[in-house]
Amino acid sequence: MKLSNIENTTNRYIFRFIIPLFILLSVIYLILKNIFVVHMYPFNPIFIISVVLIILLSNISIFSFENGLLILLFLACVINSLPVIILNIEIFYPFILFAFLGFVVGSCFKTSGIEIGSFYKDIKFRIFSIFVILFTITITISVLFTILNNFNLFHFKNLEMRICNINVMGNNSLEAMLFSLEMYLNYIITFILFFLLIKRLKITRRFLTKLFYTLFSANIIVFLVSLYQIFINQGFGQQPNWIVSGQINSTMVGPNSFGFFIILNIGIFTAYLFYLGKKHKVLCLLMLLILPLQLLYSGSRTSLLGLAIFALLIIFYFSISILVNLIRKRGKNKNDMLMLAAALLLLVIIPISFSAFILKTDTLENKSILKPVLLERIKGNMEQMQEGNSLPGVSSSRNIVWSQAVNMIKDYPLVGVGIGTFPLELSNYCKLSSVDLRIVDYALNTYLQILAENGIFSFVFFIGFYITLFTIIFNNLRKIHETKNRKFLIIIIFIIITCLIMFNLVSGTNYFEGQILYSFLLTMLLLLSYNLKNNETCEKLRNKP
Amino acid sequence: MKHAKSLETNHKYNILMPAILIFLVFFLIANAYTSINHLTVEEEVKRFGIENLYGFYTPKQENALTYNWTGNEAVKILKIKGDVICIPIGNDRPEIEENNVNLKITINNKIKYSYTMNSNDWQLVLINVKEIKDDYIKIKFDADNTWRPIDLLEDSVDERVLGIKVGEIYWE
Repeated sequence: MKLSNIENTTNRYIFRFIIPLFILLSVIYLILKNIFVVHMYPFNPIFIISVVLIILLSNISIFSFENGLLILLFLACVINSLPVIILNIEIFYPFILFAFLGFVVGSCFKTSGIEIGSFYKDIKFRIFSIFVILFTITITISVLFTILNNFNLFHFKNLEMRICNINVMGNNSLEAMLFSLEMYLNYIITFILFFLLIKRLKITRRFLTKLFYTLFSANIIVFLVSLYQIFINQGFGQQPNWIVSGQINSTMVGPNSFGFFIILNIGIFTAYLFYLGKKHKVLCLLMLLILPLQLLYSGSRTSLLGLAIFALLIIFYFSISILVNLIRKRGKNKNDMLMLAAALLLLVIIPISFSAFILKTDTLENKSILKPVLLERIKGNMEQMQEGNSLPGVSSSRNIVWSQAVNMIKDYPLVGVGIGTFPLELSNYCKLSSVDLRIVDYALNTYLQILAENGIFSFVFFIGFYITLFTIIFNNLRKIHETKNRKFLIIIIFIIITCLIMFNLVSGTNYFEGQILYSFLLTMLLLLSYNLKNNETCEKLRNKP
Repeated sequence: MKHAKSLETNHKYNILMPAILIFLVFFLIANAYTSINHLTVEEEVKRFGIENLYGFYTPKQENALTYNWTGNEAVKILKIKGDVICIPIGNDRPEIEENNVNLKITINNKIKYSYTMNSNDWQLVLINVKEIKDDYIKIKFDADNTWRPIDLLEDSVDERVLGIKVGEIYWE
């Protein structure tokens, strides 16, 4: 394997090893989940819908990759609460993973002949590919060893492979395997989507317009479901534990993943506000009006923080931009002023005044559901802080969970406790530290979770992946001069930075729907930066006398 | 000049690739070592004091007694806290008088104890483990004549394969 051959190596690795492995593990996951978790015989509507989604998406993507992708993104926004609506059961069942499986199967049919772009000519992209290969290899090795560990296959004395109890709460090897598979598939989705899009997708203005309409229509459905949950039935498609907390999830798996979805979409529609024409601007403004209001009802505090960070980045960037223009006496930039005003109004002033109005008004006294749960939570947290000794309540036990993650890192710094095993090991480590916390939960910090589960090497490759990605994007950005293109990219960079900061308080992207949307955004950012750079360079060359 | 630079770059990365391969071998060995020595379920059971290893169903309550049903085979790992281990065992099998259940208890693959259950009453099995020098013992229960409540009890929907009931173990 030489660096000059990295293109062939990466293609062979991704398309002949990672994608077939993903397909195999997803099918195993589908079967195991239906046998051991759903428990419905002989007629199982959930299994039938999963198979229909696989067939549907694979057929669509065979005929049109672009349409397959847009349908996948649409479904990622709207189908996540469907298992609860259909069966009213308290399980996590990722329909969107199986839709993605169908998309991957269909997309792989034509990957050999088509090659778009010349990414591998860029040495930075080659280094980026090496980080992807290394990270995926380390997590693949980790998932293999973790599953074998949890089935006690390394008990070499008499090779007993049993379904064992693996934590003090009585969770067993099978549950551990499902956790490991879920986490592995969740990571691997990003890289598969990445290399599929690199091979198959040409980002044009037409595609971006289609994407706008897809996301806009999906967001309208999400908003209607939100309204239904706020005004009529909060339990619609909602897990019972979230009903108690008063938070809404709309069409997502839970309120936190709803919050993450809102943050991503705020970023996307803010970027579109700059990129598309007047007619689309009105639609973007409408979206930017309703998304922050939905956030108040999702009750996700981390997403509120995300909104604050994003708003600050936007306000800071456009204020500086206006100031620089004034100093250089280029005159006022009308678009920048509009953007700054829109950001201030929609992301800051309206949500704050709405919250203040709701808190002060007495008319909603008897309709507690109409009061945004986020405000109630923050109010509750402030009261707890005034009482003192409130850290576990305010931080949702993050202080306890993080210290257990640190203990795991100290125990296994090189290889971690095993991919997807953190939630199950948490209660064990709490018992060891004499902490009274018997829960199955993630680390609530993506970076700590990667370190605790996969060890230092995976973490270094994960960070390397982002560093090279941003190096490439900023490098390309320097060569993009058209204001509209430049600002579109910068806003998407802001939303990715916001997510990376939010990862300090959440475990990844909150389930598969968030992962698919986030990975798509990440890939689009990279592809678009190359595309726009190449277009502008070509145009410059053409215009040269 | 450009060609020379490209060759130099390639040379640099030709060294990088074996380094990556060496890393992967090291990573595999590190994983295998940790798995065999630290992350086996048995090691975790000992370290965290997890109740059962395998083969037990979720705990049930009968009057003041907490017990677990086993399947045809079940294993517990316990820290040694005395010379004699006291294991309450019972059964609910219909017509056990005619269909006796033979139970074999093995401790650390050394001490073997056999018992024939011919009534559903609770019995106390006492086993001397003084000769075992380890800090932990591994108790394995093997029961024949397993049964499913759905097959033998009217109105039952319980499809589990049941061996014996094991109460809370204590030491003397």
